[in-house]
Amino acid sequence: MQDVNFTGGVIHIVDSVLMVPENVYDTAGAANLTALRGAANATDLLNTLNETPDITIFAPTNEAFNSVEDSLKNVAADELKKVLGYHVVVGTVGYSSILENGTTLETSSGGNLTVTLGENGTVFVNSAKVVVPNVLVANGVVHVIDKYVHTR
Amino acid sequence: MAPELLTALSNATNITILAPSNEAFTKFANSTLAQKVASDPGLLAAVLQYHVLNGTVTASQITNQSAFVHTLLQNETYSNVTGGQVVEAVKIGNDTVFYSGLLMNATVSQAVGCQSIFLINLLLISAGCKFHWWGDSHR
Repeated sequence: MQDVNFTGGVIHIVDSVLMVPENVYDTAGAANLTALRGAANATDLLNTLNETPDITIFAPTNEAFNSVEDSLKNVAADELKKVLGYHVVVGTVGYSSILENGTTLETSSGGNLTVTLGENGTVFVNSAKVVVPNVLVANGVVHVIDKYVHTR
Repeated sequence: MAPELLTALSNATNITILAPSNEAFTKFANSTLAQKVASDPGLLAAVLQYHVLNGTVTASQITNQSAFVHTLLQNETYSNVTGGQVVEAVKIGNDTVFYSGLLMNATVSQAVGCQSIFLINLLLISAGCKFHWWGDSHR
């Protein structure tokens, strides 16, 4: 496939107009991460998630939330906020291209997440598997994971 | 149109433009995003900036390992990523694919349509760029 060159660089003709990534709240809604959205709202974290620059969010699916719902049901908002914070990294946009086997990321609640690469390029964050990687958001990236992460 | 973009283009060396094809424009014109863009000049500029990559990225440089390439979109109203919002560039089989917001994908197409050429010409000429088609070097 030939590149179209001009003196300033290269042109690629693409078959769709690109969509500018939206904020975390709208993206989570579109990706059906409604439990995450609800938890962030209940703990007053929504503005932080939407507006912090260079953010990485490991977002548990609704199923993941449902499976721990009982243990979190009577937990105080502060504690829930801390749990959510274990899923947020600030200051590094963790696209899959920079996540290598053994990469550690410090979360906003303190504690580290450790990245492990499994077979066929599967990415694990602690014991949670990334099921949808690299969902771009206005201020960083979201990886959807299949369960809560627990920091070591 | 979009003076900041024209300034950016006229000063740019080593950029990559992702130019929507005729079909892409038609699809877009019928979308809800088009309505939003029509009423919001800031959003229009952001969309245009998002289609210009910082750096020269040829098809051969894109592999089956995703790369995240910064665009010219740095307006904090729409993007809050240091270095500019990114697109994901990856080869899937023989196709070069760019992923943007909400995992929407745009594939590099073979067909170079008249409408997209017109837009490219308009953008580039008004930005003062000289350009030639790849075929020129083979005269």
